[in-house]
Amino acid sequence: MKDVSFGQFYPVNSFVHRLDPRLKIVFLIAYIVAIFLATNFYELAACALVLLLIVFFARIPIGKVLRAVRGVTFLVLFTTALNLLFYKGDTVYWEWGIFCVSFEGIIFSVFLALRLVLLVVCSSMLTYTTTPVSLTDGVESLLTPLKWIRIPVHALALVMSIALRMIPVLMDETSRIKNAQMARGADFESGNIIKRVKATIPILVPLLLSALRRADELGDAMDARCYTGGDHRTKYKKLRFTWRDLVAFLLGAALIAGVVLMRIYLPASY
Amino acid sequence: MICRSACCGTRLGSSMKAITFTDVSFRYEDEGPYAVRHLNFSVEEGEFVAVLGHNGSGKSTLARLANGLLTPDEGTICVFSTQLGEKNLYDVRKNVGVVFQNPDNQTVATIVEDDVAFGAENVGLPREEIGKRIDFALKAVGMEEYRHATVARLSGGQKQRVAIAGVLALMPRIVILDESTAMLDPRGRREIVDGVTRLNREEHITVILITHFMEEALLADRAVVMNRGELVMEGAPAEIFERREELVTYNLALPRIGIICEKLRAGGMNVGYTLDAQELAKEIAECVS
Repeated sequence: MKDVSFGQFYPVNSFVHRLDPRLKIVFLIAYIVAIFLATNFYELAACALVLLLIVFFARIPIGKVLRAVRGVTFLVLFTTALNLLFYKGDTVYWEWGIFCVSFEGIIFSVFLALRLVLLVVCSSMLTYTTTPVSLTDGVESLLTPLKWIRIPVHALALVMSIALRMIPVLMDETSRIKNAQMARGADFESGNIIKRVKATIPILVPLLLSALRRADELGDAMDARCYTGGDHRTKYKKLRFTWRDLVAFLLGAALIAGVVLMRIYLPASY
Repeated sequence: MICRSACCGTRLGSSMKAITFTDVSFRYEDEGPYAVRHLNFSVEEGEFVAVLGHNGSGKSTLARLANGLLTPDEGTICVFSTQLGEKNLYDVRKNVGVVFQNPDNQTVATIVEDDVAFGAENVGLPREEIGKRIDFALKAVGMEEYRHATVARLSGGQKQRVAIAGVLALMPRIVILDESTAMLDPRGRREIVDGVTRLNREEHITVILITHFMEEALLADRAVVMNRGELVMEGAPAEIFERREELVTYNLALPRIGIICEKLRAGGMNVGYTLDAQELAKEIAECVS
């Protein structure tokens, strides 16, 4: 399957790739907050500009970035359509029953679509530039305080990294099962939505079974390699906060501050 | 824990027993059929043993018993001078590495070096040492250049070599390959078999190669055949493949070269039965001229 790029590491050696994963995770959260704080196009443009800079410094090809967006095309179009039809604005162009299309509605739905796209691109930048292992290390390190209330942080982080690593394997498996069922005459393409959802059952059941079998084998393989949980483990890759991280931190902080300042001093209009 | 039963810790000649199974029986379900029945089997340190058998003969169970993934219902298993038990599983596993069939199901990390490091991290080695182990393990399987590669993008044979490296990073004295070549293409199989042969010869690691490809067994010092959980044949590979009729009763085929000999003889050509390609070529040449 070609389209599986969301959640996949893109191996180049760039400035962004070398940043501390903890910083990247915190930045992603801050960035998401910033896009949701943004209420006009200036602020959103500022966010988009920052993201473009990140993409540039991460040396990720634009095609790769767009592919991440393609995965959520349906979601974006769907929410845009809903907003477009249901937003009650003043300058009405067209009205029919409960639906109405207004100038404000158009602006609002475009705004939300952009917000969603930025969200997806920024999240995928995290996974493009961070190997699952360092992502996991980052999450584990950030969640360390939770250990005090006896939450198994190490296990959770490991589960996450294995899930990420299994994405391409399970995607391959899905297309294999799909082909096998199609060869036996299964039809996934026609019929109404209920029929199509029902048609996925012959894919999901074997997929689930095989995932469980894989999990079992992986468990054995981990046992065989002396895995006994996180207690006595050491880490080959230590997380280190370097000057790069400081620079990125300052830039990130500046972005958030910028959006907040714009929010205070610019009128809240589109 | 030092084992006190007769099987362990004894030295035969100059070499030491690496693994000893004494009267081991195991079944997956109570009342079910035995996967392994009254098995007596041992491997010398530094030996390269091939375990042959058709599906369900109990050969994979053997691998899982040897490093404590399964516990025998009866009998004892000793690894060097330690009898396997609940308390020493961890130490035994450091010495007994197992490589499984499907490379996709035994890789934990996305990047080659992270996966190789997994075992070494588990036993709590310091960072510098883990780095050295990764160098050693990747070099041993000839995958140094792929250190920073994504596992998912490698070929089947390469993935399996990474899996072997992951096991080698723990510096085990015994490596068991549980049908590790079954899912690979001929080239991948070649890579793996050559790799473990080299490990055996150069690093003096004891190798137990579980397989149903007869060609692979030819490289071993000794071959054993399992059938219905019992060890039914044992000897040098060439010796085992001499006993053709017997092999057939255990649902095993001859190596390809043996099949060629048989076919030639059936077709009326007067060649002897041999497993050596050059010898066969010579005999054919004589017959033709």
